[in-house]
Amino acid sequence: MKRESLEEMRVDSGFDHYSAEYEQNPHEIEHAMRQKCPMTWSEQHGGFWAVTSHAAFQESLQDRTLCSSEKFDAEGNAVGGVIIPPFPGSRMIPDETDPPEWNMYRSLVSPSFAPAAIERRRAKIEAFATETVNSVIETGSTDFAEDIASPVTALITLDILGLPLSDWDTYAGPIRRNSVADVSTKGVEISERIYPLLAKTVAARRITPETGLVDELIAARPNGEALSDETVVDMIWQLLVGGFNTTSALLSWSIYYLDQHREQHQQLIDDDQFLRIATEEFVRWSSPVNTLARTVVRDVEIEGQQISAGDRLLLMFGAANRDPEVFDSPDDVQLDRFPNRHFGWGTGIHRCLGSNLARLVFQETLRQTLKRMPDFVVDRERAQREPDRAGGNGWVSLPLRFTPGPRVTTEYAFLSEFL
Amino acid sequence: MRVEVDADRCQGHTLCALAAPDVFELDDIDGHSSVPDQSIVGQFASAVRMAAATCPERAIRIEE
Repeated sequence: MKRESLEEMRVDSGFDHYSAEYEQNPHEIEHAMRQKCPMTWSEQHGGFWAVTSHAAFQESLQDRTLCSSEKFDAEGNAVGGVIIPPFPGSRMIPDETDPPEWNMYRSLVSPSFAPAAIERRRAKIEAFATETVNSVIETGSTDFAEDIASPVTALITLDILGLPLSDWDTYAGPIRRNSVADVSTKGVEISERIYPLLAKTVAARRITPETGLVDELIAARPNGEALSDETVVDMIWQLLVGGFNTTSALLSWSIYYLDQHREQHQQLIDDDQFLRIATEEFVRWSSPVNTLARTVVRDVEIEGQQISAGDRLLLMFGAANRDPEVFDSPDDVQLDRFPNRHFGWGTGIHRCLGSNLARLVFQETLRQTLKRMPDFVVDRERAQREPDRAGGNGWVSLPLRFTPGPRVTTEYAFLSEFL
Repeated sequence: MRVEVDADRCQGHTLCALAAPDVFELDDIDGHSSVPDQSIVGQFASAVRMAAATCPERAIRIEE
């Protein structure tokens, strides 16, 4: 069929994932789009298909031959990748690569995030969560998003990488601010501050190795050759951006919900299996990664729509995770919901590398908060959401009040110096 | 009952091991799932069905 007639057949939604309208009324808009057609076309940001059903997600992401995540075309232009519109600067590795390159990169980082490796860190993660809560526990008030969720996630990630823990806000600050930046300035502070710092760090560690995933990547010899400094930087950046605001958003959404559902606190504290199952429901309901993009590499029909090679897909995770075809009462939180076939960690080969770490950080921090601040109250008037849901889906600020309590001693008391 | 994990589809979500920890074993390197002992699967039939129903990749096949 001619391209012109294909274009006439499209169901147009005019959807813009950066719009204030979507941020203010996300789920009604998602349900309406899915009902109209699970693949609607939008001319915004260079044009894309908005994917809103669970079934269309499955078709798009589980067939390895259908989509590409590669950011650059053969001439080096940023035309693809996982963000619409493409982010300035270099690509995230391995998220914005395709097999066979993807296999090599993913295999270098996978072992550090496997269930067994994360389980070995349990005591340390618990201690880091304890110290983070220590930093606010005597005051009786805190900004949960900025003072607990952000540092606990950053500290644990930097510890795996082997980067200085005292630098946690040097990395977490620009990443937090990037999520509130306007679409035209997104990425600027990251390019100006984080990339140069990582480049300097990698160059120095190549000469004087320390201990951490950074040094393992520098020492790696996949296919017999060392990775370039630039590649190592792109891989570290991926681990920072993939973990920080996402885990933090999951924590903040859960506290926001549990503020008004206090009858469930005790079971979350006491019953580990319940907490694990509830974690999946919090991920489904909050969908901390709200959208990611792909480029279709061959003509295909999905949900009755003719998709052409080269078309961009905007995969709307929050929408797929509330598809009533798959989830009963999808807008309700049911903490014992199981089976729970959600796509909150993604699906297909690029699914979240850090999910086991994120779960444990989430569970330890949530448990500490519920135990040590049992009467916390969210100040809903002052709570502030991120201004858009284009990529992530988090909180800028989530102020809490609670009855002050005592510090709990751990062997990581030195963390109080930077918290 | 027999249960197979399709190694090509499995992406290491680990939810099968949450549903039926005695049946599914997770790999140390990438967290991908396998079933080391078919002889015990029948004892955990309902948990195994739960695991198949929650797998986001639809990687688990059951033969009753």
